[in-house]
Formats: sequence, structure tokens, C-alpha cells
Amino acid sequence: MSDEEYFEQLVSNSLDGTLTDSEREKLEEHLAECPSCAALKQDLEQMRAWFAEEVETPEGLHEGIMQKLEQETKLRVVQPEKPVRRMPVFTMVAAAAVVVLVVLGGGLMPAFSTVDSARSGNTTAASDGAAAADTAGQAVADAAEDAGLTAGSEENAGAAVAPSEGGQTVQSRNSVPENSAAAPQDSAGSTVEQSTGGSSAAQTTDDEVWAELQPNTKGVADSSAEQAEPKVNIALAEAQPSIKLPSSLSGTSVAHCYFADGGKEIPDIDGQLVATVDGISWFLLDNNMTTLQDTLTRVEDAGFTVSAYENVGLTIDSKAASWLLIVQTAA
Amino acid sequence: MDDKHILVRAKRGELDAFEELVRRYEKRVYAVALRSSGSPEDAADIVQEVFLRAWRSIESFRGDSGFSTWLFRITMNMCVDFARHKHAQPQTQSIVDEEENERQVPDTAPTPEEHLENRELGRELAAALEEISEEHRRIVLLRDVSGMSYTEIADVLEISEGTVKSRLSRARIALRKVLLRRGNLFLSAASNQSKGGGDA
Repeated sequence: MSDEEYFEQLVSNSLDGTLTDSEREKLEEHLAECPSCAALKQDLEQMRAWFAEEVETPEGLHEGIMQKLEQETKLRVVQPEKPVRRMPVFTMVAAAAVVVLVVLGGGLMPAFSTVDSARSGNTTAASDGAAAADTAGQAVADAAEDAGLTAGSEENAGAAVAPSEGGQTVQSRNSVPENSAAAPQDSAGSTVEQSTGGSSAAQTTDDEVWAELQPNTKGVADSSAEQAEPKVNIALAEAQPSIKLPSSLSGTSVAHCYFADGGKEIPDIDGQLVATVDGISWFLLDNNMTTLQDTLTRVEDAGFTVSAYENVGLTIDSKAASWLLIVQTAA
Repeated sequence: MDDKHILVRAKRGELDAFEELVRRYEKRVYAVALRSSGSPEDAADIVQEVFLRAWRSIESFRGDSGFSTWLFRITMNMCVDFARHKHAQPQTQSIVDEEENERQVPDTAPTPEEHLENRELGRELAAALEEISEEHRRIVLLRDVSGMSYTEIADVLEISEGTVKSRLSRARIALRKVLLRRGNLFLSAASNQSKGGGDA
């Protein structure tokens, strides 16, 4: 260290009050005869004063932080009420479920006269399935009304509308109206549960409508699924694996679950690739901040859209050793 | 109650306990974020993100270092990330933002003029900080804004205390050079006398 550097460091240390007695003496002697170092000391003191100046924290800072944390906590414990972005997996499954219900219900209720047009729109791709679901969702609502399920009951009327709104969210993922976000998701959620799990538990008024439809549709489900109904099967085949966990993951607890889509190539993921099914890859990663942060950034940089996703049927446990990343690559 | 007791509870997922940690550190984290970004709005965003990340990963915090060390490591990374993202944005956008920000200065205490001055100074300091190296920026923020001791800084940056001393000295001198060039130090009465001092 040159003399100059030595005294510069002493000047800097003097701001922090960390000089020894002998250092302080040396510095004082030096400052008396070196205007350059004396000026440095003054400038550094000024800078220090600027930086150390009391900062006025804005009103609502604490509340803002806590609000974010509470949202996050809710997301961990229960399903997200309002996800940041609609996920294609979710909407595809919802679409498929609505199509199935409508198609299967069609044989039993004359009111489902629009089903044929929904089916014909559902020939090739899953996106067609989504479009059909919109029509189908409307058909469910209409049918429910026609069938007298909603008669005289305000609650049921609301419930009957819900599936059709669900249909709308399916149709236009990117232009979901804010006000339709909460309720339709619940109804769509219950649809998915029942069509995949076969549960007919009815908890809400939404469910009541579905429960009324369910016993009828269930009986037909098995036979008609086996029969020639390829369009529906295609939609289901594409949609189901996305919600069905790879068997190697069942029973696993994860700390977080994120879903990424929209990118073409998966970047290097510093974790275990558990399975790849139909273009969807499932990774388990160490549950620590660095891994989480780095990985999500890397995935986003690779052109993917990442959103929290807790609807996967796994136990979310913040103490779990791993977290799950589901990546769907664009075709 | 000390940080450790609260930490145990926060690690179990008790948000009330974590809120106590937020209360203890939010002001310091905000000060660092403000000095780093130069904008109260950006600083508030950074603070929210820092605590959100801390909360998300609190269960994996092993406690080898103190909570504040860990938290300020997150803060430093967030500030650096934020500055990088801001740089990546088109210039015209930020100019428009700045103009809007100026128009939106609230006429609350202290006084509008003082507020504007503080804001202006804050922006100048942030701009000057951006001109020095990342390494230097971090150490100045930790010492001069957050008020950490050499030992704490050594923990956060994972360097020796000797290195803290020498790096801090070089960082301050580098920053002074920038401030002199930008004409900021000449604004102060103290450094008017030191015009000849130049680049030491």
C-alpha cells in the first residue's frame, strides 16, 4: 500500500470511528500538511451525511408488505382464488370437463340440442376444445334453466350462470374480465374435481347443480367413453396428463409449485427431472431461496411465463425439502 | 424478544412472528432501497419483494448467519437486480416516468421545496452509485446507508474485515470522484473549500 492509499484508508476509517489512537495521531499530523487529504476528508464526511440522512418511510409501506405476505400465505394454504395468469393446463382441463359433461348429458336431456355443434367444433386440437367449451358452457347453463334446476331459487340461478362464465374464461385466456375471475374458477375447479375424481360431493350451490347432473352423466360416462367418441377423448388425452401427477410424484409434499409455459426450450434446471409426459416436464428442486430465485429467473429468461400453481393435487408444505416446477414447452 | 425467538416461530410459518421481523427491519431495508434506486416508488417495490422472498424461503434459513445478514444479502441482490432491469428498459420510458413522478410530488411535510430537493439529491446519489462498480455500491450501501458494522458487512459480503476496510475506502473515493464530476459535491458548502482537492 502506498502512503497515499494508506492515508486515504485512514481517512475513510476515521468516518467510522475505527482508528486506533496511534492511527488517529498519524492522520491528524498528515492532514495538517496535506490539503488534498483534508479535502478528501471533508467530502467523504459530506457524502456520509447525505447517505445517513434519515429516510422518511412512505405511509402504508408496512401494510403493503403485509398485504403481499398475506396473499402469499393464502396461496400456500388454499388454492389460489385468483391466479396471476390463467394457465392453459387448467383451462384445457376445465374445457375438457365441461365438454364431457355436456356431451354425456346430451343423451339424457333434450335441452342439450346445441351439443352437436360443440362437438363438431372439437375435432382436432385442444384449442378447438376450448372454443367448443364456451358453447358447451352456455348449453349447460341453458339446459340447467330449461330443466328447471334453477326455478324459484336465487342461489341456484347464480350457480347456473357460473359454468357459462367458466366457459368464457376458457375461450379467451388473455382477456379474462376481472370480475369473472373468482367465481368461475371455483365452479370450474369443482367441475374438474368431479370429472376426474368422480366425486359427487356437493358443498356449494354450484356443486348442487353439478351434483344433480352428475348421477345421470356418470352412468353414461363409462360406456360412451369407450364408444366412438374420439373428439372428446382427444381433448381429454391432451388435457388429463397435465393435471394427473406422474405416479412417481404421488404422495410427495412440496414447498411450492410453479407452472411455466409459453417457451420453446427448457433451460438447464438444477434439479431432478422426475417425468416428462406429453411435452410437460416435472422437476423437483431443492427448497432454498437461491435455487428458487435462480431457476424461476432462468425459466423466465428462456421465454416462459411462470405462475404459482397449487392445484396439482400434492400436499403443499412450506417445510418440504423440495419444490415442484412443471414446464410445458410450446409445440 | 430477540430475533432468534421470533425466527423460530416465523420458520414454523407464523406470519405474526414474521411481521415483527418486518417491523424491525423495514425502515433500514427501505433506506437502502431508496438510496440504491433513487425513487420512493421503486424503493417500496423493492422492499415488498425483499420481504416476500424472505418469507418464502424463511424455512430454509439455517441461521448460520444472523437474520439481518441474510436479509441484507437478499436486499443487496434485489437492489442490483432492480438496477439491471431498469437499465434494460427503454430510456424514453424512464424519462416519462420521472416527469410524472415530479408532477406527482405530494405537498406533504416537510415542504414541497425540501421534498423536491431531497428527491433530487436522492436521485443524484442513486445515479452516482450506478456509476461505480457493483462491489463498491454494495459496500457503500451497507456501511453508509444501513449503518452496518465492519463485522456485519464482512458476514454479508463474505469477505474479511481487512478487505471491508480497504474496499470501503476505495468505494468511497470512487464515488467521490463521480460526485465531483457530476458537480454534486460542489453544491455543498463543505466541499466548496476543497475545489482544488480534485481526484484524490
